Amino acid sequence: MTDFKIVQCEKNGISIIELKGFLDAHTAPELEDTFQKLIKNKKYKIIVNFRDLSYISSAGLGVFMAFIEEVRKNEGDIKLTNMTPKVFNVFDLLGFPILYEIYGNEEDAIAKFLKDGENKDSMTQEIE
Amino acid sequence: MKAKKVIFIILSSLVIVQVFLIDVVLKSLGPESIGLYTIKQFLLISEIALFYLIINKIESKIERNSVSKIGILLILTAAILVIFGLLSFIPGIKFDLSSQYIIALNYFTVIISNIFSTLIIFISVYFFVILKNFILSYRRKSTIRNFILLCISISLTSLTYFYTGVGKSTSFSMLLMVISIILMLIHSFRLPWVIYLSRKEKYYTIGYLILLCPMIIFLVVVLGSSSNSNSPVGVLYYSSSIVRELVFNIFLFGTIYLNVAFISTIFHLPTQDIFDKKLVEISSLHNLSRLVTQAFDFRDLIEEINKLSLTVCDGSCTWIEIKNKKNNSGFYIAGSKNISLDEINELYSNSEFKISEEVKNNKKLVYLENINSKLLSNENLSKKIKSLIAFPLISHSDLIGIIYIGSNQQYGFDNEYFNIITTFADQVTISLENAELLEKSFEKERIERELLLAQKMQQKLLPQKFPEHPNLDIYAFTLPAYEVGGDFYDFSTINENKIGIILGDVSGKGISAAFYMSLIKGMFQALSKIYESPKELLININKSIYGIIDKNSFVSLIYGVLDLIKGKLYLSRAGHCPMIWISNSNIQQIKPKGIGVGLDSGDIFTNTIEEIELQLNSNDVCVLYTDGITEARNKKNEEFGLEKFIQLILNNYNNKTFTICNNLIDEVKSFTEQDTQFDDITLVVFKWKNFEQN
Repeated sequence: MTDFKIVQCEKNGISIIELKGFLDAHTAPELEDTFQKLIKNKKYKIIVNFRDLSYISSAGLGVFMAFIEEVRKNEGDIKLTNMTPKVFNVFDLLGFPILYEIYGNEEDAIAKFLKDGENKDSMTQEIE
Repeated sequence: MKAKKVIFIILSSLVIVQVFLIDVVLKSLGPESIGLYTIKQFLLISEIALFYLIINKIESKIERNSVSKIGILLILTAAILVIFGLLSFIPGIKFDLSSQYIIALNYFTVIISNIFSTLIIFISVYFFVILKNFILSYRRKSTIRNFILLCISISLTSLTYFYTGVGKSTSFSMLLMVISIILMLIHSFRLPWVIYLSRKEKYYTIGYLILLCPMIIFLVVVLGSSSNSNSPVGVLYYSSSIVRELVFNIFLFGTIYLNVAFISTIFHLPTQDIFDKKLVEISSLHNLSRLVTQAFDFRDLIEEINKLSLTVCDGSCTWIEIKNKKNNSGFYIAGSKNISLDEINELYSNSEFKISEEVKNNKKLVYLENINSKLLSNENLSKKIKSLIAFPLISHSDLIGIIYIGSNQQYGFDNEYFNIITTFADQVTISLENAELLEKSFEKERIERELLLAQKMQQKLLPQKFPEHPNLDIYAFTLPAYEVGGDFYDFSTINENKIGIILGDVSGKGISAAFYMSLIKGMFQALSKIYESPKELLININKSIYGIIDKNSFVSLIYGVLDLIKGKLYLSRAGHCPMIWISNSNIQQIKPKGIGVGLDSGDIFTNTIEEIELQLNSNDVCVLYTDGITEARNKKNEEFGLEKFIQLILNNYNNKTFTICNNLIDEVKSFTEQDTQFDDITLVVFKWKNFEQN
């Protein structure tokens, strides 16, 4: 019942976390560990892919809340993608779409990360 | 039973008198009378039988140990020797041995012979009964059979002398005699009682037997000698050859048996130590295994283990170290006996003293057989500990403790002890674990009680009664998944025609959620009096709560203020499930914008949240719920789902809210089939009624 799996990879310096199965109070610590490791390694650009996640509980939502502040402080972000309607509904009810960027697919999220990076670069160039 | 004994005694007295009378008649008649003599023989046989019955009755009621039995045998043998001594000194006892039957030469002889022969018969039978008790005390299946064979053989041997005179044995009686002796030899090895004697008892036994054995050999020699005119044995011959033969056989058996017992006892002396040790071992292990089931108190258990350590290993002092499981800070001394904590610490502070480390590293028994007295500066200590063993208590290959036992002798423990110690250590380990389990279960019970208390407290936090107003029908229900939960509902009377209805769900479950729930409830009760608008109230709750609760916790709330006169409902939602509104069988999900409480410090929350104003029609039904209902799962892992929930409300909305609520909950319960509840379930159903319209 509490089958949960995390698959991790990296594209263009962006960490991608794929979630599978059930994310609830029992499995949330696993995701917490993953986030903690990323932050420890100063990887602040994170995409979470929800394609294969079938259920998320409030404790699961809490994990994102716990890390977003620190990630954003370090000019990174947690972007969420590929949510099934059911999972999106849970996020939507709580108002997450206002707090997080949610995309239909990974590519869009990556593109957004890269675009933000360019903007920042051009800004620093202007300053110079 | 007593009556039987009395009858036996009376009968035997009669027999004794009759025998005496026959003797008198025989004397007065002069020449022998075969008929009377035969009667006398039969009377004597019955006398022996009666004595046996009486003595057996008396003895069966007395519990004697082996030593006291030997003591009695000694007394009985001595008594017969005394009687023989007396007989040989009493003058005037004269028999005529010339004819086939012995004839008393005077009446004095008749009287004396009768008295003493009766005494001798009694003593002999007594002797026999004691011997019988020895043989049968540790009986096996064959024991009784063999013993009966011996009795028959002895009896037959004696009976062959029915018509024979003095010393006239036939070859048939000789054959029977040989068989008897063989049976006696077989029986003489039935000596298991010797093994079970303690050392002290063995010394007593040997002491008694040193006296008894020569005496009984002498007695047998006297009894076996053929009679002459003034030999004391003549009394027995005169009484009857059967009696003489029987007495002789009994004491012959006694001689063989007791001499073998004497030798056996001496040979058992050297093994006494081992036997004693085994006995102590068995009894200590027995005590310990009893302890396992009794250990309710850890201190008592340690005390008992220390006591047993000393008895099992015959040590002078002992102490026990136990691993501190709570904070893994190594070992501590749980208890000691005959050695103080200071003395132990002094030992440990000595850098040469490494026995603890050795045991901890190797998890094996360590034995210091000869401790140098220089090692221990304290004179008292060096006297106490001349050798020391330390052995580990191992549970699931984990060292849970060490027992130390010191001896005040060098080489105080031999290899024999090590086997005992291994078993002992196992038992101690089990009993310690048992005590720990027990403690844990007590602790668990305590926590369960606390939780139950928390549950009651939380139930008290819920509104104790529903708001009452003619225009309102309201009912609510909540059921936590665990003892306590994070779901709640509450009401607030804003003024006599306005009530606030709030329902919320704290993220997570159990205790932490329950704490936050009570926090929110308190805030709600305080703020609802100040901020009449639901939006304002939620904004202020968010401001107050953000930063107080955990980063990864949040609360979803839905709050409506109902104007009971106008039927207007002002509704705001902070990340919670929408309200279900049924108006004229038309169903709507009311979902004003708003993010969960505790997600954002203020600006986003404030800017997002909406307040909706709804005009209710009379008998409209509004349902507030938590996702515990829609996400309830059954065994097949299927969700109850929102659709089913809405359908159920549609089927029910004409009922009173009490009925609607109960029907919904029943449906959810029957869907999950009373399996473990997944999440807290909470439901508030209210109906506005316009009396003016009705």
